[in-house]
This record gives sequence, structure tokens and C-alpha cells, in this order.
Amino acid sequence: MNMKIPVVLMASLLAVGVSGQTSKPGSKNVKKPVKKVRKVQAAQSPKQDPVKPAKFKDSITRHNSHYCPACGMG
Amino acid sequence: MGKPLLGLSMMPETEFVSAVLPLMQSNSIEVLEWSFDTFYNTEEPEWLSNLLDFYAENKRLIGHGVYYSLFDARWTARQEMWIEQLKKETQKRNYNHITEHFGFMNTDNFHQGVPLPVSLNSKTLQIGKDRINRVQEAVDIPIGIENLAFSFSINDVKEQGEFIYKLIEDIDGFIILDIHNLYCQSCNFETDIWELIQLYPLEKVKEIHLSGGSWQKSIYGKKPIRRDTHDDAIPEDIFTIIPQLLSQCTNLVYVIIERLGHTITTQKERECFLNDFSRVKEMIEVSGDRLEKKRIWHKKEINLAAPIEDLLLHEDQTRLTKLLFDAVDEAAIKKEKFHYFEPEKWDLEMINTAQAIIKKWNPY
Repeated sequence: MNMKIPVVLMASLLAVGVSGQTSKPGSKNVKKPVKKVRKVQAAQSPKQDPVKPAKFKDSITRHNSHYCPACGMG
Repeated sequence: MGKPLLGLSMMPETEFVSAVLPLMQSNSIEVLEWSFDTFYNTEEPEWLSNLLDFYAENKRLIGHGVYYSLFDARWTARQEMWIEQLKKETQKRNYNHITEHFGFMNTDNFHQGVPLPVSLNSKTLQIGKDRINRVQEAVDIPIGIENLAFSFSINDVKEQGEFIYKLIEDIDGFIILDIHNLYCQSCNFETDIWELIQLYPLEKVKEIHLSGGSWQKSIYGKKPIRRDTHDDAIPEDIFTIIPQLLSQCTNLVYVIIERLGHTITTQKERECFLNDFSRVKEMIEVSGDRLEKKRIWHKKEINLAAPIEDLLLHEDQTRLTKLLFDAVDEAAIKKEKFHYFEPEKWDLEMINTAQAIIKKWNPY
């Protein structure tokens, strides 16, 4: 089964993707050093409110940054 | 059964969306994996929510848990809350299955928790089964457990396949085999990766993860340590064994490529990522069809008793995490006396690596 992403959804992904290309230009061939604190927020749809901060103390660093320390070697 | 479906672990960052747009536009992502608990208590952006719903409606969404902590020696309110939120999530979206990681993340201060391995013994097995049963009781879909990338000793590495097999047998669960995690173990303990793979019951592997990582300089002047940082291309050594994996994992259904969202920023990185995806896709296309019939999973009856706890193991887990967090000298940690842990058998280099991981994720 080949799933075709609906046009409206694809349009919203394109909008997010384009903002990803323009908002954070990467340096050429230079790997950025790993930052100690990552505050990567989820990309928002246009005209949407910012992501709310996590409510729980234990999730301060986790919910606003998407990574996978759980493999144990992250 | 046909060929395994190829997909991605979805990331919410704009850079990631930008990088995978060509795959989305060509409808090449056959299945999507979503780490649902990374967004507990956080509102999903609308585009992400719609994308996940689309894959769920087409029965092509699988869930990946990160923070349950399968081997926490105490049963905590945090885990109860995790399960409650899992129930809500699986009611909201149709997941084909969910998976969690091997290991424990127990501390009084959860900020200090990173997943650490446990050795196989009757108590750890009992606790692990209790925790996995609680998850299974909450959902009506199969559950899989993923192998860990980190171990303190080669013995723990070698017994993990058997351990996971025992963990999942009561619930008819499955194994999610992370090949880069095995690659890390293979590099760090100088063991052949295929030798490690064969220690797993491959007929139980329903999903595999593919990713890249990085090298950490050895403080002991030995070879560098391989870390599962999900920030680079899939290593060639992994590509080499994919055909063999595809032929031997006869119940494999999903192949998922993982990459952290913020690590694909340059054009070169984007091209490299897409090239990895294409190479895996070609390998799947030329692989043989699965010979075995698709297994039909039935949820087994689960009778939950009071949560199993072990305060001595909890003491071990808490103390070890603190020693690592406080960056106590590795040689001193090896001399520590625990109830269950046997640090005298641990590799100094890996104790140091555990400290580095904790420091990375807990910069307080």
C-alpha cells in the first residue's frame, strides 16, 4: 500500500520544512559542537501558540527537547 | 508476509521536517514511529498531530516509549502517571504496537536519571516482568523491548538477548533490535557484531532500528568509545550486515531509521541522510519475501498483583546513579560494595562513559 499524504497536510509540512531551511542555516562542512543544554522546540504550524512549558519538575529538560538518551549511549 | 516496511522515527524539529520533505513528497515513508512520551504534557503542533493521525488512520503508526523505566526497583507515581498517559494516547491514536527500552532510570531526582543496565537475576527479571505486565494490562496491542547501547561489562552485553526474551515471553511480546546499539557494544567491547546479534532470538525481532553515532575520546588512551548519539550517518559496517539481518529476522515487519531532529542542518547532511534512506530501501527491495505467515497476536490474560519492589536494589540503583552523577573516581566505584551490582567486574572505561552520558543530559 502506497499512502499518499493529503494535499492540505503536505502543504503544512512544506511550510514547516521551508521555515526549517531558512531559519537555521547550517555552517558548511563544519560539525557543531554538542551543546550542554538543548532547548529545541517543536516546529510550530503557522499562527499557532508556542509550545507550553512542561508542568512537571522531572520533565523540564525532556519535553521541550526531543532526543533519545534512553538507548543509553546518547 | 511481504517485505518489511521502511520508516522514520519522527522528530518535531523544523530542520528534520525540512530534511525529510522529499521522502514525504514521494510517499516513501511507509511507517512512522513516534516517541509519544517525549510529548507528554506538551501540546503537539497542529501539523505534527495531523501527520501522526494520518499514519494512525492508515494503520502505519508505531509507538516508542523512552521514560517508563522498566527496571526501577520501586514502583513510583511517575510510572503510574506514564501508564495513564499511555492509555490516553492509545485511545487517541491507533498504534500498531509500542516499544520501550531495557534498563532503569531510577533516582529520587529524575533529572539525574539516564538508562542504565541491570544484570539478569531472579529479582531483576521479576521486577521487569511486573513492569511490562502493567503496560500490557493498559493496552491491547503488542509490546516490544529494545536492547540497550550501554553496558558496564561484556557479560551484561552477552546476556541481554536472553534477558529480553525472558521478559517478553509471558505477554507474547517482541524484540526491537537496535543495530547501532549493538554496533556500540561491539566496538566498545571489541566483539564481532554478528556474534552479538546471534545471541538474540532473531525470530522474535519484529522491528529494527538503524542510526549513526559518534566517537568519544578514551581517557585511558585506548580506542575511542562509540556512542549512540543519533547524529550522523549509518556506519558502513551496519550496511554490510543489513542483508543478512533481513534474511534471518523472519518475522521482521518494520525498519526504522533514527536521527535527532536538530542534527540535519547542512545540505550535505540532508543528502547523506536521504542517501542512507535510499540505500536501506534498496536493500529491502532486493531482499526475499518473508516465508513465514504473519503471526496473529492475542493479548494474554494478565492478573496484576501489588507492584513488586526491592528496596535493596533501589538502594543500589540510587547510590550508583549518585556516584556517577558526582563523578566519583572510576577506580573507587569499582571498589564500592553493593547488594546486587558487581562493579568489580565493570570496565573502567564504561564507568567513565556512564558519567559522561549523565553529565551530558544533566548539566546542573
